[in-house]
Amino acid sequence: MTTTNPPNDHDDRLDRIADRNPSRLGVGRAGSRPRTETLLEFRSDHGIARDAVQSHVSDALVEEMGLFAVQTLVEDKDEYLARPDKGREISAETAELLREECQQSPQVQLIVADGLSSMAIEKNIPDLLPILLDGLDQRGLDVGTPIFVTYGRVDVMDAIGEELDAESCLVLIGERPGLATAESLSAYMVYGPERGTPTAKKTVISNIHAGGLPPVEAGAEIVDLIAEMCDKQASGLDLTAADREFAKG
Amino acid sequence: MAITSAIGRERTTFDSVTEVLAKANERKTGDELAGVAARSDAERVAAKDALSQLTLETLRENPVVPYEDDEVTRVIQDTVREPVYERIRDWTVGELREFLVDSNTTDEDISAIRPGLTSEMIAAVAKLMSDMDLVLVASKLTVTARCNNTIGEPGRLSFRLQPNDPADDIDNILDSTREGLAYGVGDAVIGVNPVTDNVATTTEILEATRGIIDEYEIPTQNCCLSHVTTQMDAIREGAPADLIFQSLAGTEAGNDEFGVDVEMLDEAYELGKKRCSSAGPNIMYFETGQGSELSGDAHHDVDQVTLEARCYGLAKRYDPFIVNTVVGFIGPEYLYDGKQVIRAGLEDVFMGKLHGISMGIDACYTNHIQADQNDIERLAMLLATAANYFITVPMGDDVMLNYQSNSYHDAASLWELHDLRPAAAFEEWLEEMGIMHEGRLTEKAGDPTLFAGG
Amino acid sequence: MVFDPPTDAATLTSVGIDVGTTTTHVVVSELAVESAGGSGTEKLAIGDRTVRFRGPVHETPLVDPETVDIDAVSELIASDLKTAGVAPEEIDTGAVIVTGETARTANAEPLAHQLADESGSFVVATAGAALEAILAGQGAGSAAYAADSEATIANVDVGGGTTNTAIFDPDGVVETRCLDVGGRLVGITDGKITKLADPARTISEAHGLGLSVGDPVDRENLSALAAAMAVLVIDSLLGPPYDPLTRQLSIGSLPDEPQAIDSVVFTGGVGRLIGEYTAAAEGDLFAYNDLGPLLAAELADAAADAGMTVTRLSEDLRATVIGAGTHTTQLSGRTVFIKADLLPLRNLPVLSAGSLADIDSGELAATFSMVLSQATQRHDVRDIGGVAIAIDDIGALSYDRLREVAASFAAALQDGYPASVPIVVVTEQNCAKALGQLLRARCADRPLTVIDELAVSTGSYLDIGEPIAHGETVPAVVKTLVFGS
Repeated sequence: MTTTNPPNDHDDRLDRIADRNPSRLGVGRAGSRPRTETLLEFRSDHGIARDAVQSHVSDALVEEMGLFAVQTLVEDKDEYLARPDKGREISAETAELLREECQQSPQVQLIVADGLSSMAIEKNIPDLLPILLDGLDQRGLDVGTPIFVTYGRVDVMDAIGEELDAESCLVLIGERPGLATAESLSAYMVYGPERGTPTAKKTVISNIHAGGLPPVEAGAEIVDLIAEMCDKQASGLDLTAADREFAKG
Repeated sequence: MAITSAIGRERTTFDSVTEVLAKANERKTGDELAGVAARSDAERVAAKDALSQLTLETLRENPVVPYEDDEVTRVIQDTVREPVYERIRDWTVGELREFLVDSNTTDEDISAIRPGLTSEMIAAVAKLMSDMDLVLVASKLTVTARCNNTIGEPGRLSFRLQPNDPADDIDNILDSTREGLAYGVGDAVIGVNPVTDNVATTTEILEATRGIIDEYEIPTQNCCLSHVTTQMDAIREGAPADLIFQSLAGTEAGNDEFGVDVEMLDEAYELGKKRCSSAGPNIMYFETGQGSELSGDAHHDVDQVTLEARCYGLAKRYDPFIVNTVVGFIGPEYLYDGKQVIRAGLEDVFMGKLHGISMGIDACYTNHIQADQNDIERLAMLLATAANYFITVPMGDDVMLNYQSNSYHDAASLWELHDLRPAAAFEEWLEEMGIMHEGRLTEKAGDPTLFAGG
Repeated sequence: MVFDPPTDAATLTSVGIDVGTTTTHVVVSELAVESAGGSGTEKLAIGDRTVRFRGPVHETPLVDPETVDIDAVSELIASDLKTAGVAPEEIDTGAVIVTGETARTANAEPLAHQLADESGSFVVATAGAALEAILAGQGAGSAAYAADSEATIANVDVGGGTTNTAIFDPDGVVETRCLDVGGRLVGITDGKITKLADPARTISEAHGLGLSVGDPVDRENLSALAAAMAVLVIDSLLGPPYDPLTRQLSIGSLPDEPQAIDSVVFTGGVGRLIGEYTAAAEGDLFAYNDLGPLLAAELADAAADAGMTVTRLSEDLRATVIGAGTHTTQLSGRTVFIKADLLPLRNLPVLSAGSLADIDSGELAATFSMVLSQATQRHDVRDIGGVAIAIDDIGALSYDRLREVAASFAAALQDGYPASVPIVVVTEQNCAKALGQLLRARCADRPLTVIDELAVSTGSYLDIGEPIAHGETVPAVVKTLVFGS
């Protein structure tokens, strides 16, 4: 039997600390080790985060959202994690396929990429994509064939945008999961995509998830940014508004 | 410069010292991503063999980044004490390894040759050493440093209390600090990574941590890990900082990515000596980590272990109170899994201590790396007698940096496992507070309400 | 109009100007502002309130019985503020409230606006019956009594022209129920009926009493009229269902659901007579030259007949508005939907649609229609430059739900809100830009603004400044009326 020191004393104060603080506080101990419940909660949260990295976006979602699916040079999840360079590129055959099957020279090329969290895609895209497409349509912007990329890194937008001669390109990509949420999505936008475009020339909105910037609101925000990008023919630091701090909450 | 090895089935030739150093590394995804890694296990061992036969002089004469191109190289080379170097210049790297692991070689013997070593020599010998070699040698090296308390004494193991908050909320930071103190951690430093890098936030965090240190007369030091220039501005305006922090890289270009150079660090050090609120004399704190140079495209085709060693060569110039590698933070493209993280952690602590710096480790991992809490608990157990300190966060979960490290709980477990104690003055304080008795947590320990507030 | 929110001072100098049916007066107070709640949805809290100056009670100057003399009122106020030693630039905030029958005179709104324009920091409140009811309940202590006794209290303020009921529970106002019933609807001089206001005439006709101006006083007939009025008041408290006559004489709409009431408090000129007169009593029932004493006597009987518990509170004052509490400027969420040329907007009265979380999509339009009809009933929206509709909780922030909300709101606007008048939607959830985009698709031409991450409630007033931070956020000031007694 271990010696336990559950938080019996000063319960109110402990509860208040535990409730208001985002860290795992007031958890007590079993000897010098965490209590079993605390330990398993922690492992559970890590398990969810790991699963978000390791799992794949379902074919059903890709189909339901009407996305044209391709894959980067990466062969599997292990390679994806180890080789960011391969996650930024597509093969010559894939490029050829894109040119055959997708609209050429759109004003806006939309890409969804699994990134480091498939869960971020599953949870956010169904609410984000429709309002994004609505809004781009309202602005009279010509949107190309929306594409889904398996094993994609952010910069795959440069390769695809270049191959399809897109005026601007947007990638919605799963962020590295934290223990607090494994569902956070980022949107990167670039005007005049071409391979090797530096990060500073990209506009980003991060922390898109139910507990951060809600996906519907993010969709409407992206519409405004893309319209502004196309209007000013610039993105990232070149776009005056790009230094805005979006993450909230 | 052709360097050959006859080990194994066929003769292997390498073009440069830099290539040998890179290929002699244990496998790391970062070296593969950089395109400098051995192409096979056989080639890896051939490189180790070739490296083992290089003299220390060859390494001194062939720094991985040229002297004239890189101020980190200049710092390292200019620090070498020539008479000591003269005594060991003919040693091969293999001989250096055997000298270090020899049971008859004492801590003092190693200290005696230390001023003749360069970071490349230290990296080279690390590449020849097995995991157990690394732990064995790191454990026999004692490096102490003094700020408000003394860290690194034999039989003692310290911890950084890292009470980060995703909104820099001072109440939350203080709650987490109280909980950590109640578990007996915080003797290395109470150090906060701010979300917002500005003078106001830095000052607020320093004042809050200084407040609790003063209120309970805790023999430790505070630090806010904003950019060094932010801390300098805050200190000039009177903010109470015991330590000045900065992240370091092993090349001039890498430091440029961090927005620092030697001149700026010199200035920070001079300011700290005059204006830090601590007793000193050691008032600097640095963090490093394998792979950071490559991620900033500042690696000059050098492997990540050698570059990491060069960080310690630079850090040494400032006689730091503490330095730690943030070993598993960078991601699987540099350190793929628990095995690579553990190896890197052992290398880093060994290399840091051989440099003579007060070396600790943030044994950590992100959620996209193939590792879990067991891996870093294992790393902590391996290094408990070798490292001066570990990072600890509540239940191992840092909700601001979004990664996992050792927990507040792990401290007492490591003391218990290895019969270790916190820093002497801090242990005394814990006894007075009724948190620790004879090296073990008391019944009261672990309860943050031991401290008023919140 | 300059957007000039109050500074971050912890104390506000506030002016309350009350233009009532018979009297007008000015009160200058210091209001201590306290912060409550976290950022983003920070709610206003006014702590200590200290009256610094209480002006003399002036008779409200009238041009004729239907028209307030605006210039004369302005002069009174200016002279009082001078006496008080308050310079206009010292005034952080304030409220002009036009109450009683004055509020229904032809020039009430122009009056309020002219007074408000003299200091841009003023809230304009042309008090409808609902606000009167609340003021009465606050002043009489019914609100405090409900909180202390954890009961539901109906404060029935029976005055000269109207009976304004506010129902309080421990958390505050639940609802209001107001009728055109009062003691001075009938005027009696020298044994004759000298005045018979429309509502009195309506009741008389409905009950076949045949009263008319010039008739000699017939005690029995007048008692019957008073009894009929009393029954209507009680009916308004008990309903629904309501007597058709109750509906006809209601001011604004009556609630659709009955409200259980623990106790009734009568206040107001007639209310305070209850207990002093009984229907059977002889004596000078017409001492006030009106129906007041008779109505009081009949109310007591009617309440008893309905089995109601009548409570008397020691206070029986009408609360007065001593200003408007405002908080330091808050910022909306960082993603909003704005028509920049509409801004700044000032003193928009807020009406809350409450939480929609439990409302099915099919019922959303009806909910919005109700709120918009309240808005247009209580306010001349054209004249005051628009209203703000608050939504506490939209429900799940999904694309489908938001689209339903937008469609329902657009439909409700189409049905009952003038197309050219600004309308602001304020949501607590972070969804303004999305909701704005969806609304634009459905009512592109309307002057519409949607802002978010602000908590506002019915009865407060909203100022919205011009966008800052690259047009991503707007400063907003939420003001609420502060009551004194």
